[in-house]
Amino acid sequence: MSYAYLFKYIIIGDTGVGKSCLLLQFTDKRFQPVHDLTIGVEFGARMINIDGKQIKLQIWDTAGQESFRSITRSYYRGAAGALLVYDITRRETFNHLASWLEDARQHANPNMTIMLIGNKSDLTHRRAVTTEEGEQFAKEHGLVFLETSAKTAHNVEEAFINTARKIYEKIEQGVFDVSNESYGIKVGYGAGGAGQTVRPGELPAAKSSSCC
Amino acid sequence: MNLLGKVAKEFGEYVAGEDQLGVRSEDAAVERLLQRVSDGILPDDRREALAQLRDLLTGNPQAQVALGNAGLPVLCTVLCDERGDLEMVRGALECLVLAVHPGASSGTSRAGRKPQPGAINAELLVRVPGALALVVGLLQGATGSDFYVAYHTVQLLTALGAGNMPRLQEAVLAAPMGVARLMDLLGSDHEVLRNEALLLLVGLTRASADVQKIAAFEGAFERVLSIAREEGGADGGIVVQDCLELLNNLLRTNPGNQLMFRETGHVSGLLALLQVAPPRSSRRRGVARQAAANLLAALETVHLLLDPPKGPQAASAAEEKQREENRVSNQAALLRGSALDALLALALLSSSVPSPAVRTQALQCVQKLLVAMPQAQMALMEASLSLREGGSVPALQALLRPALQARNAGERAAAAAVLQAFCRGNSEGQSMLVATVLPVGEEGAPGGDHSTFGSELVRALAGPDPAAAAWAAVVLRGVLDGNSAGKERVLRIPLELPAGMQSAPSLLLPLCVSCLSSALQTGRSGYSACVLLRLLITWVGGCPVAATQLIEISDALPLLLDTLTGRFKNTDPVVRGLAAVLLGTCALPNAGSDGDSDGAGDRAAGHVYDDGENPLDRDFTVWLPAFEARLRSLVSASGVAMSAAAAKMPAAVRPVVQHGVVTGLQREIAELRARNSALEQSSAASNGAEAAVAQPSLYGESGALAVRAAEAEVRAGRAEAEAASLREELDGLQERYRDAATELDAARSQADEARVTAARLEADLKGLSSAYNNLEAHAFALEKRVGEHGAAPAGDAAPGVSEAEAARRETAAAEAAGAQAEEGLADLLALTRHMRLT
Ligand SMILES: Nc1nc2c(ncn2[C@@H]2O[C@H](COP(=O)(O)OP(=O)(O)O)[C@@H](O)[C@H]2O)c(=O)[nH]1
Ligand SMILES: [Mg+2]
Repeated sequence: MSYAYLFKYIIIGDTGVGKSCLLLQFTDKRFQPVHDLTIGVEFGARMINIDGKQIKLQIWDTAGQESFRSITRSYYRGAAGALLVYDITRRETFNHLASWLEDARQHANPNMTIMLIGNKSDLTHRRAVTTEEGEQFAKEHGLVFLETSAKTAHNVEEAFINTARKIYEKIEQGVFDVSNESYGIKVGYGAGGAGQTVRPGELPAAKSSSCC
Repeated sequence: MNLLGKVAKEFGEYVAGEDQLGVRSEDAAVERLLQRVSDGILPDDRREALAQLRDLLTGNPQAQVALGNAGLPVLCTVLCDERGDLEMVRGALECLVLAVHPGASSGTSRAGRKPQPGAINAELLVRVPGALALVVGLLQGATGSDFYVAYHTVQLLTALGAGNMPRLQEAVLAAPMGVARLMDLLGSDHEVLRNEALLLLVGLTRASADVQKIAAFEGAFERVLSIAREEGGADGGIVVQDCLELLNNLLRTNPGNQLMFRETGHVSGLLALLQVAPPRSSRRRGVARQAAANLLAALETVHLLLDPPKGPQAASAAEEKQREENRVSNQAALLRGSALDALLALALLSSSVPSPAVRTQALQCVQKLLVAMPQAQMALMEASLSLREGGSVPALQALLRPALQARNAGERAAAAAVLQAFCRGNSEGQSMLVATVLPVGEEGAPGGDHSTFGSELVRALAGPDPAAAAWAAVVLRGVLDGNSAGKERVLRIPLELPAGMQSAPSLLLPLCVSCLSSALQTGRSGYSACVLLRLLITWVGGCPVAATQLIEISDALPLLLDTLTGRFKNTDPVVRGLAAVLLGTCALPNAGSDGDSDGAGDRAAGHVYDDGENPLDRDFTVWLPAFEARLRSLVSASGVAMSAAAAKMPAAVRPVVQHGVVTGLQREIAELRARNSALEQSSAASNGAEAAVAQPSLYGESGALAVRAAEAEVRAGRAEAEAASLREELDGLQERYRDAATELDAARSQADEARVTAARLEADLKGLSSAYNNLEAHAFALEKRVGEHGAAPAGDAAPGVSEAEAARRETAAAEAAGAQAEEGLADLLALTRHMRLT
C-alpha cells in the first residue's frame, strides 16, 4: 500500500468517447459494452511501478456533457495529469478538442501533463479521424498522443503509465514544488507509510496534513 | 411560498406598525448612507459611509429592513466595481453580513412567528441577478487572499445557504474554483476562517454529489481527519464534530467517495477517532457530552460504511449489486483496520464516556461488521477484553452482560443482536458457545474466574429477573439455531445451579419449559412466552431427540394444549399460534428443517433487522409460511410417519393437536402478516426519519414508537375480535366433530350390518384418508354383495314369484344398499374435508 508518489488524474472529453470504459479497463481490466451512465464508477485507483518506484494513481472520471463543463473545470487545478479523449469514429469529438484544451489551459496549473487519446481504435472500419491528424494536433499543442481501445485494452496501460512517466520526469527535473499538493502530486512515505493500519490503543504518528 | 409577498407585507408592517418616528428616522438614515455609498465621489467618503452603515446595521432589525430591496444591489455594485479597493470590499461585505444576520432571536412569540429581517434579506440577495456568483467570486484572486474578505465572504455564503442551499450549491459549482477555494480555506492558518469554511462545507456537501466529489478530489478526507486529530480527536471540541459531520456528508450516499476513502487508506484515521483518553476525574460534564457527540458522529461514519443508506429512488438490480459490493469492501477494510477492537472497547469498556447512546451505536456497528463475514465472526470469537480490575474476559461473554442486563432497552437489543449475528451461519462459533454451558459450580459468581458465557446464560434463564431470562432465551436461540449437534449436546449437559436455585430443573430443556410455564401462568408480558416458545421451536426443529424429550417432560404437553385452547387468561393470539407451531414442530420435527437456510438470502443482501422487542423477526416470518405449507402437506398425506414424539402423545390428543396446529397456524400467519407489515412500516418510517434528521443515530425513535403503539392498539382490537370469532369457530368445529363421530358410529353399524369387518375399519381410522379408501372398498363390497343378493333369490326363487317381481326386489335391494353406502361415504368425505380444511 505504500507509495513513493501519488498522482491525481482526470479524464476529459466529449460524452460517449469512452472515458468511463478507459478507467474501468485500467483499474478493473474489463470492458463493459453498454455502460450504465447512472452507475458509472467515477473514481478509480491503481498502483503502478516506474523505475522501481511505486506510484499510486487516483483517477477521476468526469461527465463530458457541455452542461457540466463548469463542474469539470473544478477538477483541473488539483490534477497532475489529464487524459483528453476523443473518439476516432466521431469527427465532432475531435473537432471539440480545441475547446477542451482551452478550458484546461485556463483552469489547470501550467505544468499539468496532458495525454491526447484517440479511443476506439478497434473500430477501424468506422474510422473518421486518421492517426496522422491526431499526431498533428498533439504536436501543435505539445501533447503526448496515443490511440487506444478500451475494448481490446490496446494501449490502455500505456496511456496511463506514459502519462505517469512524464509527470515523474518533471518531478525529477524539479519542475514541481511537490510540497504543494494543489499540483495533484503527493509524496508518499515509502514502506510503512500511507495506508498503514493503526491499532486501537496506539495513535497514528502525528503527521502534517499529508498523511496518506 | 410567496416569500416576496410576505416580505412586502413585513416591510409595510415594520414601517407602519412600529414606532413611526423611530422607524422613519432609521429609514432615512439608511437611505442617506446608501446614497453616499453609491454616489459619493471621494473614496474616503464612501468608505466612511459604509462604516457608518455597518454601525447602524449592528443589532438593529429595523435598519436591516430599511436596507432591504434598495440597499442590497447598491452593496453588490460596490463589490463588483471596487474589487481593487480591499477596504471598500470589506466594508460592503460587512454590511451584507449584517444585513442577512439572523439577529438575536428575541424570545417573544411575535418575533418567532415572523420571518426575520435577516432571512428576508438573504432571500432578496439571492435573487439579485449575479449576486451569488459575485460573492463566490470574491474567494478568488487578490480579494480571496485577504483574510477579512475571505472570512466575511464565507460567513455571508453560510447565511445565504441557510435559506437556499440548492441555489448556493449551483453558484459554487458554477465557479470553476469554488469548492477548491473553500478547501484551501479549510487549510487556513487562521483558525476562525478554517472553522467558518468547515461549517459552510458541511452545508454545501449535503445532498450534492458533485460538491461531495470535488471536495473529495481536493483532499477533503485527509484535511478533515487531520483537523479532527489536531483538535484532540474524540476528546476534542465541537470542531471535531463538525469535521465528522462533513465526513459523513461526503460518504453517506456516495459510493465513489467511499471507494476513494478506502483506497486512500483513511479507514485507520477514522478508527483513530474512536479512541478516548482514560477518564480524568476533573472531567467536566460538558466535555463528556461533547466527547459523546464526537463519538456518535464517528460511529455514524462507521455505520454508514457498513450499511450504506439507500438512495431515494428504488435501486436497479445493478445498483443494488454495486451497493452490496461496496458494503462488503467497506466491511473488509474496517475489519483489516481493527475496527472490531475499537468498537468493542467503546461498547463494553467506555467508562470514560458513560453514554448508552454511544455504547448502543458501537454495538450496532459491531453487528453490521459481522453480517455475512466469517472472518469478523472468527475475530470476535478470539477477541477478549482486559478488565480494569485486571484479568481479561472473552468478548462474547462480555457482550452477554449488556444483552441480559443493560438498563437501556436499545442497548440490550443491540448487544443481543451482536450475539445473534455472531451465531448466524457460524456452527463453529455456536459449538464453542454451547461448550461453555458447563456444569456450574457454586463459586462461579458472574465475573468471577469460573463463570463462562454458558453459565451466565443459564443463570439468567433460571434467575428471578424475567427480562433477563427472556433475553437469555433470545441469545440461546441464536446459539442453537441451525446447529443440530449443538441442540443435542445441550440436552445432555447437567446444570449445577447455585444453592438458591436448586429447585430448578437440572437440564436446560426442562428449565426452559418451567420458565415458559411460569411466563404463561403469570400471564405477564406475552413477550417472555413468545421468546421462550421461539427458542423451543428452534431447538426442536430438525432435532427429533429434543422433540421427544420435550413431550416426555410431564408438564409440557398439557401446558401447550392449554395454551392452544386458550385455557390461560389473556393469552396473546401470537402466543397461541407459537404454541401451535411448537406442537407441529414436535409432531414433525423435520418439517421446518429447510428453515436452516432461513433468511440467508436476506442476510446476504445485507438487510439486517434488529430483533429489538419484537419476538417475530423477519427471519421467522420468512420461515413460517414455508413451514406451514410443509406441515400441511405432511398432515394431509396418508401414511406419513409421525415422529417418535407424536407417537408419545395420547391417541385422543393427536387429532386435536393436528387440528389445533393447523388453525393455530392460520391465525398465526394472519397475525404475523399484520405485525410484519407494521414492522416494515415502522422501519420505513425510521428510515425516513434517518434521512431527515442530521443525526441518524437518533433514528426518530420516539415517532416510530408512537406509530407502533397506535398500530399495536389497532392490532390488539383486531386480534381480540379474531380470537373471539375463532373461539366460536373452534366450538363449532368441536361440535361438528362430535356430530361427525356420531355419524361415523352409525356408518360403522351399517357397515357391520353389511358384514364388512368393523374391526378393519376401526383399525384403519387412524389415518382418515385410509378410512376413506376403506370405505370405498366397503362400497365396492356392498355392491358385490348386492350382486350376490340379487343372484341368490334368483336361484332360490319360490315358484309363484314372477321373474319381474324378483327383478324389482333385486333393484330395490341394490338401491337401498347403494344409498346406504353412499351416505356413509358422504359422511366420511365431509369429515375428511373438515379435518383437511381446518
Ligand atoms: N468498440 C469500442 N467501443 C467503445 C470503446 N470505448 C468505449 N466504447 C463504447 O462507447 C460507449 C461510450 O463509452 P463510455 O465509457 O460510457 O463513454 P464516456 O461517456 O466518455 O464515459 C459505450 O457504449 C462503450 O461500450 C472502445 O475502445 N471500443
Ligand atoms: Mg462516462
